[in-house]
Amino acid sequence: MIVKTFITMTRLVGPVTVCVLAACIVPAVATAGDQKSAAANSVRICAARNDLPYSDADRHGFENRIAEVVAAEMRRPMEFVWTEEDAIYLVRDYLDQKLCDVVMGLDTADPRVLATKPYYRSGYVFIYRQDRGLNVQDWNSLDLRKLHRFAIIPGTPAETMLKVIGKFAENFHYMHSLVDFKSRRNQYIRFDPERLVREVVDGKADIAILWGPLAARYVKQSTVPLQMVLIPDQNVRSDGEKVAHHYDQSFGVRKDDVTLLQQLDQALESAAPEVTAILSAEGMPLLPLETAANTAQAEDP
Amino acid sequence: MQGLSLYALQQNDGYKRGQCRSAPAPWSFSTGVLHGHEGSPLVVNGIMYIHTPFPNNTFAFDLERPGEILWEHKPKQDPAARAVACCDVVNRGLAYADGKIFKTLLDGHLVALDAKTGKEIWKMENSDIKVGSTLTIAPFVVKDKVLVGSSGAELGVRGYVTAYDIDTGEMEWRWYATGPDKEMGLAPDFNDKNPHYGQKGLGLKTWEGDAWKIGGGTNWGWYAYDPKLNMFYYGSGNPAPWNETMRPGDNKWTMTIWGRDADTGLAKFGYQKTPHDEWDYAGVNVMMLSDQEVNGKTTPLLTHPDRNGIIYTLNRETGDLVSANKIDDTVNWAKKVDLKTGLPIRDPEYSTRMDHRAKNICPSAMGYHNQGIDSYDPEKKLFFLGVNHICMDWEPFMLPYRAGQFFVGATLWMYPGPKGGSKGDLGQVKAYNAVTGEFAWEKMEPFSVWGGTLATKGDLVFYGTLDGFIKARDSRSGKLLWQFKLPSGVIGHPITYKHDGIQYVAIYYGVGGWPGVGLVFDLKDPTAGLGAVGAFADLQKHTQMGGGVMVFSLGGEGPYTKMADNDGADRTVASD
Repeated sequence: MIVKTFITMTRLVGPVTVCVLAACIVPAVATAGDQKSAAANSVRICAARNDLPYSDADRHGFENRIAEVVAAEMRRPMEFVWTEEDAIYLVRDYLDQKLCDVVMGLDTADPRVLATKPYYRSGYVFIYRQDRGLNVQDWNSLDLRKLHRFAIIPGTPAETMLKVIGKFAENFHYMHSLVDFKSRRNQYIRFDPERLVREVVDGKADIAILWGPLAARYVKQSTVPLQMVLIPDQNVRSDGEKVAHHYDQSFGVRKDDVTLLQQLDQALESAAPEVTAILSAEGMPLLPLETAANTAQAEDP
Repeated sequence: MQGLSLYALQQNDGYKRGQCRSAPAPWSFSTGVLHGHEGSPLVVNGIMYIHTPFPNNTFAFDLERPGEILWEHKPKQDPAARAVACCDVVNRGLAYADGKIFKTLLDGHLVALDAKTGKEIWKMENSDIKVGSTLTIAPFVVKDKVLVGSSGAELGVRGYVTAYDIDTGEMEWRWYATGPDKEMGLAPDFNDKNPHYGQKGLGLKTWEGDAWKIGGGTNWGWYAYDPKLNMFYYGSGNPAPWNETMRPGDNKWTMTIWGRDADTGLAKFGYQKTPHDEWDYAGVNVMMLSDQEVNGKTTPLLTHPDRNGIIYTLNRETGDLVSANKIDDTVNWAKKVDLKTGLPIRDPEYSTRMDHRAKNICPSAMGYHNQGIDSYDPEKKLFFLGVNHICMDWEPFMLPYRAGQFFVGATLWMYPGPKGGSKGDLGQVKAYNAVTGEFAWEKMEPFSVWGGTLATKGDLVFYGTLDGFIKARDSRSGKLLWQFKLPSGVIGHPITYKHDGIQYVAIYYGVGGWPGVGLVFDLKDPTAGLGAVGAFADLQKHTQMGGGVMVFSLGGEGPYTKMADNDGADRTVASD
């Protein structure tokens, strides 16, 4: 009852800061006693403990907050089901195992899930110190070719493009140093975006090339002014195949969970202003979602 | 046998079959270090030199009184070395020449010690720890030079072999495993005797773009030297990265048997065993030299049991392929090696490409033969091989994350090979004739014979097992004659030496290395350690970590059996 009343109030006064909302919602679901009664109707969100800026165990991630907003909008209690593993395993080891029902941030085009309409679109960025006097706008920029140390994450478009400009091999051991050489074969290692941005701040890396939403808050928090340049989405690799740099992001559910998907879609639509506020507060580049309609999203219901 | 040509141990006649009887070991020494003890002690001029895994301590013992440490060398190292090392923090041993002991440190240094006092004479940085480059190899002396290899292919280290002047430590030359010909040190007539092996420009052409710069091919195994031909031999390791889709091409010259000039280091021949490796069959194993009759002619031979399950014999003067047979007929990734082309005929069913799921691949990534040193009996013309009998399943996977980021890996399950039987035997000992290609005998072992064998003239072959037995078999029939349970499992090889008229056999104990990864790091997931944890899950029931050397002799005689009547004290008195 308390939850409902509060939501009504906020609707009258307009969007409120997420922190306040979260502070009200969380106690309503987090107590052990409530969980039993909440269980039947509660939305179980698959969540990683160590996946900032998206999610952490203290719910300081922006997707933690968006999930709370959406659940409130759905008028359903919500619980985070915390994984013991890295976030990359959430679909395979949690969603597909029915341990939880919603993954908060996936590519809209992810073929493994049923995805909501995208709730944001962003892109990869170049990050470098403003006082370097660099002018790096895209992968063809001459200033980019002069650099030596690139803070990137393996398995991302940045790796592919670094190979295209012939800088990957020389940067290989530096890239491994970013996880203290811990990445063994078959073992996924999370690269910490805060550390990568710090490498640029400290001058150990000439430039970082990261997914904008991943790096945004760290760029924003930096005491040393950093340039964050959105990379245009017109890149190809050596064989001519496109290397996408801009992506739509959605919530994902299991493929047969159509009802839940509809609820999520509706909630995302009605809560759009709050969601956008959260995303803007991060400082990430936000691209118009209309352009997503042009790129055929075959998986959209 | 570090520091000498690798003619297999063929010592003396002290040990004869029929004299094996349970006897207490005359002496032993615990190194004070855990983790895998690879390699063997070194005995020179009545002194035994013992080395350890990281922190790479060295101890010297006068064999007259081995109860007292003659000297010790305990180097200070960059602690980052442990974190960067790919696998257990092993070291494969020492070398001796000219009154000096040579050793490598995990943090990438090569050190020369005064053999009498243990004081450092010179120290060179061979490998830069900051780029993930470490050293585990035993140095190898060739004339006036000491050679070392490289480790760290996983982290993009491009393999190289380097020669240093034994007196001054000055670097004489360094040759790489990939890249431009002049950086790899190819002689002008490289592979002229076998042009189909490949000749010029292949260190670049068999890679895409500049992938050769992080191509791996490190060599951390064993060298051999022929003073007559003035050549030395070794194998380069696996290509990097491990994910084969990232490096299309044959990836030369990784996985190659090299024959180089002992003065200049220039390569006269290079034979690549596993082009475009998919399985991690690192090609660094022992190079055993013998002179045998081939087609009626005495031929200088090199015999090399590779990880890939094939045992290769080459003419070590020309690089000609004499034979390439399966170590065990269960090898299946290749149907056979075509002796005319030198190429393996691959069976795609057992490929471990990233788009192919495969079961029962033999050998597993650990190989049917790992870094152990084997031995040779020139009278019987038999090599005694310590073998793994482990196969694997392979399941590649691709995990998308978000924003186009994905992770590609593979899950491996390792288990006993088809001959393992109901007990699930994981090892074999075999006697092999390199010219006829026949096996004189073979025996199964419950656990891998990881460390290697020692053959004596008295028809005995000694070896250690992963669960900690040292065994002796009749080298004519394979019949088990003697065994002793050591304090910990064995991944090194036994040596034999004579002192004061007594014949001894010495062996390290101290399990670790890749097979011990589950035990050493307390891992439970069977697919961890690339499947090693599952394959050796049982090992923990038989052994735990340890570290030391145990010395045996016939009848248990030794320096202390004679002193039993004294007060037994073995101290150098201060007034001496």
